[in-house]
Amino acid sequence: MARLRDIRLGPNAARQAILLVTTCLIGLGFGLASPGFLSFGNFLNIGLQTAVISIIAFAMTCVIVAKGIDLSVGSTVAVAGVIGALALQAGWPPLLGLIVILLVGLGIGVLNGLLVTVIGVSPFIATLGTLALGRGASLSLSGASSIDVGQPLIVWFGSARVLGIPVSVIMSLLLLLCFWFLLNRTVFGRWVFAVGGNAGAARASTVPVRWTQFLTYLLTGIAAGVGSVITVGRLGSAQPLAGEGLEFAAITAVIVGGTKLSGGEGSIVSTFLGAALVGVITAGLSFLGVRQEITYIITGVLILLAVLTNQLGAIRPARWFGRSESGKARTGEAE
Amino acid sequence: MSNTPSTGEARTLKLTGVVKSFPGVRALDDVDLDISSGEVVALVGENGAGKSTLVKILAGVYEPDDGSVEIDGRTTRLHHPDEARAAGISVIHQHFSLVPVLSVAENMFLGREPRFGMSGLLRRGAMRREVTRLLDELELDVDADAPVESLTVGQRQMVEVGKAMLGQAWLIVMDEPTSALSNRERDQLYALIERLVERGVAILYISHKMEEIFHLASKAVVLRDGRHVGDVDLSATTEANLVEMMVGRQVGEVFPRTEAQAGEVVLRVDNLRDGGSLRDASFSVRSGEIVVLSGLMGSGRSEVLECVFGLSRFDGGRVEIAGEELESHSPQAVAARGVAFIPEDRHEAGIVPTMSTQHNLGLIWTRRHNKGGIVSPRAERTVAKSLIDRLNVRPPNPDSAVESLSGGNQQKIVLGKWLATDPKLLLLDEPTRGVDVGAKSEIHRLVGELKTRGVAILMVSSELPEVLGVADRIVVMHEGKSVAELGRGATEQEVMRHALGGVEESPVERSGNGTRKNTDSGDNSEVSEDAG
Repeated sequence: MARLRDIRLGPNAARQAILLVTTCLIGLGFGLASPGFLSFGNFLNIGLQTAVISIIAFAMTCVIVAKGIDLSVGSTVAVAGVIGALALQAGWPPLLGLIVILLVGLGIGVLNGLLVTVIGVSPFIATLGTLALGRGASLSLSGASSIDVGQPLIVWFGSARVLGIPVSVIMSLLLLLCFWFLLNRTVFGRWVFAVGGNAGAARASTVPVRWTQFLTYLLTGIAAGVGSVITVGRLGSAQPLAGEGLEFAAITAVIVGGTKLSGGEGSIVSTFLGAALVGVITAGLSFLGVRQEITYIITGVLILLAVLTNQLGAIRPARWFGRSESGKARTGEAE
Repeated sequence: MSNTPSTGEARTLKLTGVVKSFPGVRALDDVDLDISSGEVVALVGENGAGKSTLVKILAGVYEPDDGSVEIDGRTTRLHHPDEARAAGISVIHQHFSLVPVLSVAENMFLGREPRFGMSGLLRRGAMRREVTRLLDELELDVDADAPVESLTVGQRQMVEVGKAMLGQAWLIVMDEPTSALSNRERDQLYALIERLVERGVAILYISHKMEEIFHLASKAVVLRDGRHVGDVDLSATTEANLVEMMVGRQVGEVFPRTEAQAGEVVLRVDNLRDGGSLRDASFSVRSGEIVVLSGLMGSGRSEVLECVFGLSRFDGGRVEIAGEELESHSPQAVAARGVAFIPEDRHEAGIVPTMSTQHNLGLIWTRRHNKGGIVSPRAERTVAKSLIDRLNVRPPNPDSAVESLSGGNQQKIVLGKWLATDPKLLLLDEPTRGVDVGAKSEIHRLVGELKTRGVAILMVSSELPEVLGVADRIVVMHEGKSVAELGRGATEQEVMRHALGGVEESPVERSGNGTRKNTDSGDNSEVSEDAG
């Protein structure tokens, strides 16, 4: 029993160590292939490129731990940016434009949450619907062309640096702390894990199951809003096709980080490391001039590898210690 | 392809000295069973006596640790459900194994569909003809093309029987087949069983209902605590004798009894109904008292607890907690009044397997003890550690994953997360199901301790020794109604008699100030007719 406990002690810690080492080794590999890769400037560049992905992946972790999924984040980034840009174009003050972007994100989060928890649509279908809805809305509202945004406030979020570090990178690190705190130190965080781990037990323990699920969709909505502000600020314009494939990138980061789609298990720090690993690989490949399609293939292999190691981790203790465990589980059935 | 079971030669199944153990429990100990073509044998025993384990051995789900299985005199090993099926043994469970959207014919041929040669194309015509012929032969009133979801429970059961016959079964195990049937459907099942027996099929019939057993079976195999008490010739015995064989046991130290002063009424339930299987329940529970709801499966016991806790809505009657009727009867509102609920199914509604012991224990506590939604891990750990000590959870590690613990320890954690909130009323649904004897007695010691502290306890239990061992009062439920209230010192036979719905003697007086008596000894048929 003692050995079982030791293995059980830190499944997250072990995975995080592996992720960190892998990321460093791959980074080193790229550095050997092209020396310019290992520069401070390039690291910041990678941070810049993964900032939006990480921010959305943090919220996505909460949704997935609660046994949901949110496919709509990418198009939410686009539609929030387009609506915000239109508001600015109409002469609204910059701060209000910023708030509009965040509110649109929040609004889509509310819509997703209502669809899933009140109407009972499966998360996959509901957010697939809002994904299409958001993309269509951003294309039609913008007339399928980009809208320039020159407001310094918004550009600041996307392009400015504080002490030489891009604001978006600082924000993603701050949000890392916030989300970690939310999941690990708050009652809400416990509820998220409990709802994903066993909704029936959560309900019998008076946890407001649906409310918890609803709030996780609000989180992805807001995160997409924040991502939209950064994206618009970086490009200096709102693009109707912004954020395409972002849901894929964010879910990849979450899965590579070891969070299971079956719910109840996951970690924000692991997601962050997952995003970093994917970011380093993507950046390294583009540094080497590898074509986009190859990058996709490698990302796909990475996801499969991550899932595979997850499975192995689950199978091994079950096989080694399974006899007593499953035996006891069976007695329950046998009654 | 011939699908009519062979009516010629007689077939036999013989189990000798079968033993099956699970960690901490000896589920079967030296059990013999003998059954041959053309007979109906009843398998009886209390819940936990080992019937399910025995059936699983016949079905090839478990392999016995010791003893032999002989079919037609040849020693056989059933390693896998497929091998049991090939040996002609078919088990019809309480929960059917039919696919609702497929038709009757498709279901009956599921997994052995006739095809055109090696292709994957179904011979639908052949399937329909075969099934129609079989349904006619068995005189079953079911359309081969009807989707199973459109059938009644009784018809689905017939489809299950037909499926077994199509698979050339000669031994059919029926697990509580009438529990969800109306009286008319039950009679149809009886007729079907007669026809099967005429064709040389053997039936192993599991039921709690004495009248059925005596009506159908010639012999009863009695199990008690995993042991084979004996085989009984049913034509030469009485119901009372059979019940005595089933329960004849000393209620020992497993249920340490603590004395406590019963205080004020904490829970009062009046004419509670939920529009479903719970029809009319009335009783009260005082502080420092254990009241047990007893009755057969499906008699509405668990529904009472769920209504009281607000997990399901009731559409009639009153629930008063500490003398007050709640405006909003939600689990949160009820729990806020100091009510705790330990659900029946630990895996479904008790533990969160992916969370640690500490987080499971703190799940309810943290909601009440936090600063602006922020949990103090240190305080939570202190609470978890003290609960682990108090409950004797092993391993005593707050960080161990709950899914790795034994059933008994998991159950202690379910109990523990509520103990952290200092409940005034504890609702326990089968608190010791699937738990070994050691943990069972620990759980009861704990419940006894709560009782002496003045907690009111309402418990549901299917295990009669447990019911009699711990209860201060027993409320017996039958078909959704509370039919009797028995004081301490009631016998198992008494409880059983009320639970089975037969009240031959004078109706038992309700204690306390209950004014209404439920003595529906007469017209049971109507009751089950609309229940079905």
